[in-house]
Amino acid sequence: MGRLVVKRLLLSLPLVLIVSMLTFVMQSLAPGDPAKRILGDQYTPEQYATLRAQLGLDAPIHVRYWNWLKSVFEGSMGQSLYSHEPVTTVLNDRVGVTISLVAATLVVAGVIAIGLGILSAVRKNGVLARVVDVVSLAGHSVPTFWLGLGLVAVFSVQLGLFNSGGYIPPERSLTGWAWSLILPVATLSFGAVALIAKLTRDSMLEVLDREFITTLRARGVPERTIIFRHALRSAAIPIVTALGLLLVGLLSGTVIVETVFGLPGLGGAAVLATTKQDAPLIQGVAVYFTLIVVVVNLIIDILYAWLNPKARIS
Amino acid sequence: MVSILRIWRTALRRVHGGWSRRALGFGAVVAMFVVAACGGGGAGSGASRVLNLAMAQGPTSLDPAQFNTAFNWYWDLAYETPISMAPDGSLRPGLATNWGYVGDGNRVFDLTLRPDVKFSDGSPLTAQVVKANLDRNKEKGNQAASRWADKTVDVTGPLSVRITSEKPDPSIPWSLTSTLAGGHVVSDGGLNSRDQLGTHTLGAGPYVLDAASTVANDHYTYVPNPDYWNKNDFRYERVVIKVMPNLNSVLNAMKTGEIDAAPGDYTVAGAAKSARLTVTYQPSLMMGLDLLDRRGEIVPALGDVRVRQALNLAVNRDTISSALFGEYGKSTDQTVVVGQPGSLPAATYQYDPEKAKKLLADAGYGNGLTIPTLTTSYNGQSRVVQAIAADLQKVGVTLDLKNIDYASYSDELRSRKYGIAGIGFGTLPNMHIQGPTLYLPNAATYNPFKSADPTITATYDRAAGAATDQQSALFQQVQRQLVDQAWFVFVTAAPKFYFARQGITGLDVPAVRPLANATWIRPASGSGA
Repeated sequence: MGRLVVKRLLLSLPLVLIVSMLTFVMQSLAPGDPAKRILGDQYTPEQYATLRAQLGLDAPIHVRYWNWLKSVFEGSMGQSLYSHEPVTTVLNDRVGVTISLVAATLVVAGVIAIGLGILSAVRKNGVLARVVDVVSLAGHSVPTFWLGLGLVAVFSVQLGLFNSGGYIPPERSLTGWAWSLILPVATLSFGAVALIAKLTRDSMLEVLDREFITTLRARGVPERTIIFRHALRSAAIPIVTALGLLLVGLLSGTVIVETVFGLPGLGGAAVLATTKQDAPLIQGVAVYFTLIVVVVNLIIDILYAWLNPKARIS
Repeated sequence: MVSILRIWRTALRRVHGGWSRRALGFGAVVAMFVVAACGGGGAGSGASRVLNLAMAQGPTSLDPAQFNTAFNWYWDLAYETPISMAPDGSLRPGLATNWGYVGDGNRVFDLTLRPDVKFSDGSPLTAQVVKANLDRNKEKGNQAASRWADKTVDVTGPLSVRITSEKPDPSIPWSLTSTLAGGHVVSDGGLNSRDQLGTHTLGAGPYVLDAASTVANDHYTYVPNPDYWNKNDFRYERVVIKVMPNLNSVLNAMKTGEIDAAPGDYTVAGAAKSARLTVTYQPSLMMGLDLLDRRGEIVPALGDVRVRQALNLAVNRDTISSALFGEYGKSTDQTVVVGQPGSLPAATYQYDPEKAKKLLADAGYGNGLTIPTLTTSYNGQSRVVQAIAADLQKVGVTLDLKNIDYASYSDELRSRKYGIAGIGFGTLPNMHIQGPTLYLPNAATYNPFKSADPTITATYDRAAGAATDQQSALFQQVQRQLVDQAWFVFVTAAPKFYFARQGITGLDVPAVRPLANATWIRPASGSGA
C-alpha cells in the first residue's frame, strides 16, 4: 500500500506541472490587462509601463512562468496583483470551505445514492426503481444554479429554516457550520445522487444475478448479509471509481454553489481571480484544485485496492 | 433536552426489529442536531447594533489610491475626507472645518483642518499629513491624477493647507469629498508603509477594518474607531460588508434579514418592492452614443453637424428609456439630466424621424449610411445601443456593431477605429469635472479624436474661473453648444438603486451625486432594526 501511495504521488507531480503550465499560458493569452484594470481610465504611458514592470508583466511568458515556478519551489506562490496578499494566505483561508463542501457532498450523496440504489436493486421493477430513474434524469437536467436559488426561496425565505447563504467556520460553531452547509450540499449533491444511485442499482443488479449469490442464498445466509457483506462489496468497485470522477464535476460545481450561497471557498476565488486576471491567484487556484483531485483520487485508489484484492497485487 | 432523550430511549426499547431501532436512533441524532443548530450560530443581523451590508465585489485593494466609486462603502467606513457630502447633496465639514477660495479666479483654495483629530493608529491629523496625501494623488493617482496634476499643496500652518491650481478649478471642494478619488486621508504611518494599505485601513473615519475578522473578497468587518473625533455620532458595534455577486442571493438575504442594505439594480427592483424592501434610486449613468469622429476623419458623414443632429432626431428617447428601465429611467439628450447643474431646462431633440431623414438627405446621405460602432455589454450598454440602432435603421443609418468585453473596451475606444461608441458615463457633481473626462480635447478615452470646439473650450474656461453664482449659466452655455453641435446621442439616464430593509434609513441619495455613503445608514428612529 505504501508503494501505491508513493507511486501515485510521484505520478501527480508532472500532472500538477502540466496543469499549471496550461493555465498560465491560457490566462496570459486572454484579452485584457491587469495593469490597466488597476490604473483605471486615467493613466499616462509612463505609469502604465512602471506598473507593468512592477508586476512583472513586461517579461516574456516563459520567463514569467519560470519565475513563478521558482517561487513555488521557494515555498511561495507569489502575491495577488491587486491586494498584494500572499496567494497561499488567500487560498488557505478558503480551501477548508471547499473541502468541507465537497467532502460533505461526497459523503451525503454516496450514502443516499448507494442506499437508494441498493433498495431499488433489491426491489427491482418496483416504484423505487422508477423513482431512481426519474431522479437520475432530473439530476442531469436541473441546472445547479436554479436548484440552489429554488432551495433558498423555499427553505430560507418561505420557511425560514436556513440562512440564505454565508458560512460559519467550525471553530465558531460546529453545529452552525454543518447547518450552513445543508442547502449548498443539497444543491451540489442532487446531480451526484442521480448518477451514483443509477450506477449502484445497475451494478447491484448485475452482482445479485451471479452464481455465488445464489450459492450464498442456498446456504441460508441472511439476505441482509448477502447484500451488504458480499454483493455490495463486489458492486462497489465501479461506484468508487465513479466517485473519483464525480469529484472533478463537484469541484466545478463549487464555483456556482459558492456564488449562489456566498461561501468563501476556492470556487469563489476562481471566479474572482479570472474576472480580474489576477495571474498569481489563477495559478494558485489551479494548483490547489489539482492537488485536491490528486489527493482524493489517491484515497479512491486506496479504497479500490482494499475492495479489490486483484488491484493490490497488480 | 433530558426528557427528549428519555422519550427516545423508551421508544427504542419498545420497538421490535433491528431496522426500526436503528432508524429511530438515527432520527434521534438528527433531531438533537436540529435543536442544537437552531439555537446555534447563524449569520443573521442578530443584535440591532450590527449592520450587515452587501456589495457585488470586493475592492481590488483597500488602498484609497485605488478608490472606485462602484464600491465606495469599503472606504467610506474607515476614511474621512476633509469635506463631506451630506445626504441632501450639500457640502459639510469633515476633517476640515473651514474652506474657501482666496480671491477671484478659483485658483487658490484654503483649507482649515479640525483640531484634535486622530487616525485609527493613534497618530494626529496635521496639515503635513494632508499635504502628503494630496501630493500622493499626483504620484500614483488613478482617476484623481488628472484633477491633481496641476495642483501645488503648501502647508500654511499646523492645521491649514493652501492648494494652488495652475488652471481655474471650481471643483476643488468636490475633489476633497469621498465621492471622488483623491480625498481620502491616510495616516502618516500608512503613507510610510503603503504595503499594508491594500489589506488594512489607516484612516480617521468612524470605523476601522478588523483584519482578523475579514476574509478578502468574502466579507469585511469594521469595528468602531476608538479615536474617531465625532463621539456623538451614531455608530454600529460592527459593520460587515459581505461580498455577494449575485443579486438574487442579495435579495434572498435581505428577505431573511441577513443583509440590511445593498446597492441594487433595475432587474430586481420590482422583486425588491414586492418583498417590501425600501427602494431608493436616482439617475446615475448617462447612456447613449458617443459620436467620436466629429471631424469626419474615418466616417466623413459624422463631420457634418446635420448628420449628427439627424441621429439625435431619429431616436425615440422616451420609448427606449421606458422599455429598458420602466418607470425608473429618465430620458435625456444632454450630458446631464434636466435639473442637474449645467442642464438645459428642457430637451432639445424631439423624436422626429422625418426631419432626421431630411437632414440626412440635405447632407447627401439620403441613400443611407453605415457607421462602425463599438459597444460592450458592461452596464447594459449594448442593450441601449441596440435599441438606438433599431431606431436609426428606420432613417437609413446602419450601426455596424462590434461588441467586446469591457476589459478591452477602453483600448478600443482610444484606437480611433470607430466613428461611434456606446457610452455609459457616470453622473458627476458638475460639468466642470465632466469636461476633462468627457468632452474636452484632453478627454483621452471619450474624445480620442481630440475634437475641439472654440465656443465650448472658451466658455468652459470662463466658467471655471467664474464666481459660483455665474458658473451655472456659463456651463449651461457649454451644454447648449454640446447639444446643438450634437457631439453625443445621449438617450437615457439609467438609475442607481439602493435597497434596504424596513427600519433602516440613510439611503436617499441626492441627484447631484447619487452615491450613498455607508456612514449615513442607521436604524430608522423608533425602529427595532
